[in-house]
Amino acid sequence: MRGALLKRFERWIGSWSGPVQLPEGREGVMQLEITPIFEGDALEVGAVMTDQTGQVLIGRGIGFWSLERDGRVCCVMYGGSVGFTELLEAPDDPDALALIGPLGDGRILTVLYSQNDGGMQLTSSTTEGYQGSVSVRNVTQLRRRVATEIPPV
Amino acid sequence: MNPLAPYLGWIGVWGGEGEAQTGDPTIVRTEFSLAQGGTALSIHFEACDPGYRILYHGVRAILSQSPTGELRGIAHSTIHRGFLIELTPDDEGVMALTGATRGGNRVFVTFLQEDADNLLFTASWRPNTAAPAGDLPRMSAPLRRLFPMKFDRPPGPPASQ
Repeated sequence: MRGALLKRFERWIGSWSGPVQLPEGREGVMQLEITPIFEGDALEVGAVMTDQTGQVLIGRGIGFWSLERDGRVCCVMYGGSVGFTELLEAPDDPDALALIGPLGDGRILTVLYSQNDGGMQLTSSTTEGYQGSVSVRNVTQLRRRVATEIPPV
Repeated sequence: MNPLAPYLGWIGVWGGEGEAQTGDPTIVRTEFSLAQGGTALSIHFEACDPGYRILYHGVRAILSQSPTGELRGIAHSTIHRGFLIELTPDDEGVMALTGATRGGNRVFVTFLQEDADNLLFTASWRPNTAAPAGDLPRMSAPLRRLFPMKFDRPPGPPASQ
């Protein structure tokens, strides 16, 4: 199981960033870090959202992904706007990861990571119950962040 | 009061030799650090064999204030996988954490502060369905704060011209 998690998400490990639409039509920036811990036994996934200047923190969250015995991903996470929760993988495309779980206030949180040609799209939404209508949705197109190569002096 | 406040003095690296649940000797290393821009406390825990080659148990946890004010957290354990944890009321100088795992166990972790540089760590778990018992096999280790080794600076050029 340990190798399976790394094998599946190896391409996602690293730093990602992209524009995010904030309430009231403002633009912000999301930075996402996916880091293996304990030799890939789990992945630590941290996200930070700021305004475009990078000086105003809009929100942040952190979670651990690990594999269940049946091969599904389980995510325990904390987000400033959603609190603590446990999300479980729902069936989706092999190049995507859909996580779904209940929030403390009865809403349902769905987070979808899907790889595409331009990078990774991250969609999160909350609904009022499993059959409810979507109340909040954020879509972010993330690109891998790479370090500038500085030539030796 | 920020529920993290009583534990901010624990930030640093701690280590010690203790006993695993099997009774085998184990070396424990624990690091407390700030996380999430200073709004959360990260706990990194490793228990290895005395030769540092086998990781008996590794845990990474993030504790933060919940919207209702309590200290709660997320944890990943190499044994129990991911689960949510919460602080249970206890005496001053004690961090008592518990959580229900998806595997059907309840995990108990306690750090007891003996003085500024000494903690006592204990951890155990039992099936959720089992009645509480006082004699659960447990891992325990006295932990001492690790300080950087002091050594004389090697000779070299002056720091500034």
